[in-house]
Amino acid sequence: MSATAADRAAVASARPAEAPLGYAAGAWRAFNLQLTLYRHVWHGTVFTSVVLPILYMISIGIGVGSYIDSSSTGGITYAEFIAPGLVCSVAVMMLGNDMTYPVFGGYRDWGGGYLAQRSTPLRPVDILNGHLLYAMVFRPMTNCTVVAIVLALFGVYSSAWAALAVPAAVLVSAALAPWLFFWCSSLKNDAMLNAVFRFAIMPITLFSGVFFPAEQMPGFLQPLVWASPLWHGTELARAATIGIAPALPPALHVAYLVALCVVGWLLARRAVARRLNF
Amino acid sequence: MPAETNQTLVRAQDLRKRYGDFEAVRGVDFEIQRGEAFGFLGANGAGKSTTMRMIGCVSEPTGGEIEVFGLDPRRDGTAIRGRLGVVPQDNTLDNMLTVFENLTVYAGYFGIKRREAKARAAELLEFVQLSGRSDDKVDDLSGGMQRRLAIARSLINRPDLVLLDEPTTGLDPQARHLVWERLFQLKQQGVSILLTTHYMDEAEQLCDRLVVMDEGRIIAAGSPRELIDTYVTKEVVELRFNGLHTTDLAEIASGLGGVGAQIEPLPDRILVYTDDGDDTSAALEVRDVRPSSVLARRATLEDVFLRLTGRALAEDEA
Amino acid sequence: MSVIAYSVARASLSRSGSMLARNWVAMRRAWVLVLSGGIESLLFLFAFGFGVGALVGDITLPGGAEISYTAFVAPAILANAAMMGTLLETSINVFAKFKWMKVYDGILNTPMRPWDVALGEVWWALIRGGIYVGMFVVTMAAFGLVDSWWAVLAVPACVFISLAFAGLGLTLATLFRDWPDFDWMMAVVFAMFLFGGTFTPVESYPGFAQPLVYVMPLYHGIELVRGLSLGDLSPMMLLNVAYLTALAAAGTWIAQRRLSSALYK
Repeated sequence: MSATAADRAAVASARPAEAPLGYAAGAWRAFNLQLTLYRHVWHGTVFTSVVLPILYMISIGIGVGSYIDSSSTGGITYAEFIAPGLVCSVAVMMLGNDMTYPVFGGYRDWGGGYLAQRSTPLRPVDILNGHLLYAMVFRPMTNCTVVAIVLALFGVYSSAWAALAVPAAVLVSAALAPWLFFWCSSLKNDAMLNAVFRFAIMPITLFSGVFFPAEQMPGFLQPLVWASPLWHGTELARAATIGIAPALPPALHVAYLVALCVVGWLLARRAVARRLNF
Repeated sequence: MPAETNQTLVRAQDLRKRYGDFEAVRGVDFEIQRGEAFGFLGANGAGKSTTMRMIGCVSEPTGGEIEVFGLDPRRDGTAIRGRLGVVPQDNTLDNMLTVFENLTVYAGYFGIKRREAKARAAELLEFVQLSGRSDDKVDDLSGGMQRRLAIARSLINRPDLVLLDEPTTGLDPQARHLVWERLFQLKQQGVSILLTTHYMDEAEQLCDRLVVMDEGRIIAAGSPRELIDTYVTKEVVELRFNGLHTTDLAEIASGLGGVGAQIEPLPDRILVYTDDGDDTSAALEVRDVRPSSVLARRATLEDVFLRLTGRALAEDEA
Repeated sequence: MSVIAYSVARASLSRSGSMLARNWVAMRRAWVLVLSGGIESLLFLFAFGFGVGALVGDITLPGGAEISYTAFVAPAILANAAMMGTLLETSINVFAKFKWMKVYDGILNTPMRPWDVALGEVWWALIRGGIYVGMFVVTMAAFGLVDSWWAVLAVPACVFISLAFAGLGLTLATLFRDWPDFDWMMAVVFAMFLFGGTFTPVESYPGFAQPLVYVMPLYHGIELVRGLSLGDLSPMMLLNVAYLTALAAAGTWIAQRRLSSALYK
């Protein structure tokens, strides 16, 4: 055998015993895939995640708002009324992209992000955490912040506490993302991804008290509103931006969102482990 | 140091994998040594890929024992995968990323620092002759190039063992030879290789040792030469009869008793195993058979498989 | 070119019919999804028509008439449904079929020509759009949002919208390279939805923006459908129809010129 062989053998045996892979490090490594992908597609996502909410503000908030008497929105202007919900709904709309097709495709040989990661030191749970880190922390922290700042130009905040609308959006995202991951990990057919959009993302965005007070919904639909993470987030965000007391004590809203996140994560962890052990 | 100092990279004993009612791997034993190229040969569905996935720690055995680098895949999957290079059958390349990013992002999974990852990626692209395509999207590469990229990716962590699942399936002959050439070079550098294939010529070209799998079991093991010596004769004479059907061939074959060591009628030809092809061809001429063509050739692993299973490999491919 | 012209001239309905049949068979198992596509528009109707509508109450049109905001918004969302149904089907779905699913590769090995394929896809898109429009009109009527018998004509009016966007969608399908391009198309679509006179009368827009709105195809669709469903007919509607027809003709013509080169690679 040649000298290279000896060199290689030397490299192999000189390899230091690696420290066991921590969960934070694992998530971080997996997250880097999403970040690299984001660098390729961010310009395509700017519209939905930044421009669209601003357009909603102009068309609905200002345009339709000019026909709405402030008495029907608790004494604030309609633009002030929808601003906090818009910040949070950005988080939901982004999940409609980040936690649907990419999750479904991750298990396929044509997308295969997860399959490739699986043959490396990463564990299924690292793959899950890495993707969640991107979808429920990185994306809302960046995009919702931009939206919140631009909305400030419309004069819809009453104090600097408005900045808390962004953490509220992160919480909404965190409550929903693991569930979508779980759902899309179990789909057999990509046609069903549209169903995720139609039966989860859209109804949540439209009927969580963002555009009109949730109390206006017919009584039999009220429980659905209460279940919606976006409603809880919007209540929290509205308290932050314009100082209107939320429906429940803030701690309860937060607790509900965190609980949803934890249960969803446990389900998602099971799903990803099942899908990636074959 | 763990058990690997004795140079055994993988050791499996009575390894089994069951999916519901179906047992894909039914108790296999094998050992893979450092520096060797080891092959799993068999038709589709023989259990090769499943065995491969168990070695790659992405599939848990449902029975038996397996040890990789002296470690237990059930417990130390992460550590083992950190020292493996894997080329899956369908590549699993990311077509949203560039060629270069496919390597550097993958390097990140092993905790390789960015600067080092970039250096290795450039070096490996050179090795698989894709340097000029760094910034292209994977979609723009041909099938052969994608496979070479997947091979480069599998080497990014300087693995102690490279697993290749059907490395040349679906490639045209030229692309195939390019892949073989790279693998052969790896072998010369002392990289241990484990591959599955259903191509006999591939196994003959690349493997120091191989096992033949069929229906989840190992039915033969050894070097290509050993297998040929053990299960078939040195040479084979192929007789073809234009226009005759399977039943006719069986009848002709039954009338050839005494010629060669063994006679095997197939749907399209008759094989006569022999140690001396010319002698046998001469002996056949004396008999009253009139084949449309007679071909004496060296025995191959294809013949081994045929003898062992009674089927040609290609029959399972459709 | 002459080859294509010839094939267009001879485009037989039966061949495009077999393309339609393929889509029908392929989607038969997923009919729930086809139907549920109409639900998106209904969700918008409930949220903006009824939810936000309750906050607005009545709205005074530029002509002086006063109607409920719900009745004002509903026809616009209907026009939007007709647009979305056909545009998505002819652009994204057609693109996916030839780029990723390779559906057409097999089909073009048969006597089918690119134009038959395109025409088949247009029929299919019209059927899909028609299903959405039908679901929507029935819902509108059920909630008392249909004020006159002219509203029956809103359905054929939607066919003009669908045809206009079918040609456009096919053209886009031949121009697109990858997903981000669709994101941009959706951006334009949403911008039209929000600013095409859907939620407020165009007359209330700032002066500089109004000419931009008049260029939007969706605006003309909305005007047409709204006028019919409110029973408020005006000669301007002929202009709306003319604009949509011109767009349909132009889009289809460009699409058929581009399709052969896109499909026969």
